[in-house]
Amino acid sequence: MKKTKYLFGSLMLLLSLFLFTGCNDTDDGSYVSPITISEKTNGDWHLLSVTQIDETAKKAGLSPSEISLTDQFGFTTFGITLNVDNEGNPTSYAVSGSAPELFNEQGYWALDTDFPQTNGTPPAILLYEDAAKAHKNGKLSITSMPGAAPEMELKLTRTSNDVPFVSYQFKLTKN
Amino acid sequence: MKKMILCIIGLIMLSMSALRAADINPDKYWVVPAVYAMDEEITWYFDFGSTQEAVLPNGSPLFLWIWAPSNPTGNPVPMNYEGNRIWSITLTPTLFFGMTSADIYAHSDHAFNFLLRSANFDDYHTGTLVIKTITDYVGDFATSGKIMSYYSTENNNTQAIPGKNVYPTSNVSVLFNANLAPGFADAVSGAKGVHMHGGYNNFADHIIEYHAWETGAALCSQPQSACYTEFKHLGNGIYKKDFVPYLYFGALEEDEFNNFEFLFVQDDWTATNADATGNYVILAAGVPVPPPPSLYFFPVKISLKDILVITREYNNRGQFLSYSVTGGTKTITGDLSGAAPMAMQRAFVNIAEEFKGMNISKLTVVIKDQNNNEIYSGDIPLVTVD
Repeated sequence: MKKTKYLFGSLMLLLSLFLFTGCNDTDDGSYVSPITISEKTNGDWHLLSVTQIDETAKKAGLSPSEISLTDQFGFTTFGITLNVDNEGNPTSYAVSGSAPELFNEQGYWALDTDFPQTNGTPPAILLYEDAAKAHKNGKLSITSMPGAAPEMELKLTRTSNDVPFVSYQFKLTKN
Repeated sequence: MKKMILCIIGLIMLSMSALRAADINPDKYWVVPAVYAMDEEITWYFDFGSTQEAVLPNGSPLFLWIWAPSNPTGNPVPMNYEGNRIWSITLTPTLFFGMTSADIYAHSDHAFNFLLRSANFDDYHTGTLVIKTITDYVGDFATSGKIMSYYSTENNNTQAIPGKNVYPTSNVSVLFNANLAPGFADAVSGAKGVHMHGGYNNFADHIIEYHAWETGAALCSQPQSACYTEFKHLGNGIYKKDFVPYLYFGALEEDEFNNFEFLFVQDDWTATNADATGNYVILAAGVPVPPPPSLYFFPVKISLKDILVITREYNNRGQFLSYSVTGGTKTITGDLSGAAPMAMQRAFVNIAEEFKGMNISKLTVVIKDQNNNEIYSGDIPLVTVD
């Protein structure tokens, strides 16, 4: 009789555990792709300021190493449009305004990485002559990524024998 | 009683002896003009402002007793009383000492050594005084290779100081070597004279122009006349003008005085001479000497696709610069600009657009001022972009 009581008690305890279980499958939420650099950088941008940087002087500790060009040669009219396709992939770009042509005013663009890199290397916009993106003719490093403020900084650096000698830092805001 | 009388007599004699031995010394003494040839008339001034009148009464006789470079007469030489407790003596060294200029310069003391005294010496006398101006300033200037030099003395300084800042009250001597100034051949020969055309504070105040049409000795006291502005020809194309700035430019001692600026003008404006970077500017004491003009190109290395920035800092006032940049067969020109007073002037040159598509490896840059003085001429190599 005593043994029957124990069996009954154990059965009741087992049954009570089912009261704490749910009736549905686990809900993990729907999948959202991470934001790419392309999403952040595409669109119409116009110039806030542009600075010429003497990389040789900067490395040697000479002064001046930077001079503003913002008020010269119509740089204030500088604009750049970075187009993307329906899937958000970079396609063509075009420069507007009357600023000096420091890089090709139109062509195609791509990114050297879809997401910010963990090694600190700034992502770059690669400029191409052709839609197939076989002939690269320029590179704009993204030294400041758009965030809460719709502002971005692009840096065009020229090198000779792989040694940088001059850069142009464009500070842009989104239209 | 007898002892008391002897004591009183002794005291009186002691006090008289003390009076007879009175030493005096000038607070300051100076020479006008600042720079002089030994055959020029000069004046030495001695200020006894703080010497008690009881010792040296106003206008009392004062004599020069000099032994170097010579004692010309063997007797004390009477001086003049200028008033305001200043005594002076005017002399022409070669005549006064009976020596040639060369002999005076060659004297071993290289200084005038003397004292000032009463006629009998014992009433009052100074210690040894020295004027260290036996320097051939004019001869040294003539061989210095400089077109212009200036010297000044202050009232407590008996030695002319070359190229130092001056006060409005300084005795200033400006020297000019016409032999080195293009177009001044007539001034070298003495056929024409040289004049100062100048003004206070970069010609902003108290301007004394050279009015070539106001001629004649009668106008010598009239500012801006040919005579008033004229330099003295010392011979061999060396000219000199002695003046006190505030008096010459018709200012007050307390007027703002940062500098005086001037140029040399040959009679009737047949030639002018100014510093290579503008007019000559002599700064007032206390005004810091600006750094010399500095020209630089930015960036240090440049390609055919870039912007060239030409900058010149610390420009002389009134100097306006222009540039020409030549690449291959094309030359572009423009002006450097800047905010008043144009101390920094800058030009931005759009190399990327101006020389686009050209096959060139260098740019030739020439920079000149408004007087066609060449500031820079040189090549800038163009680096090849990767």
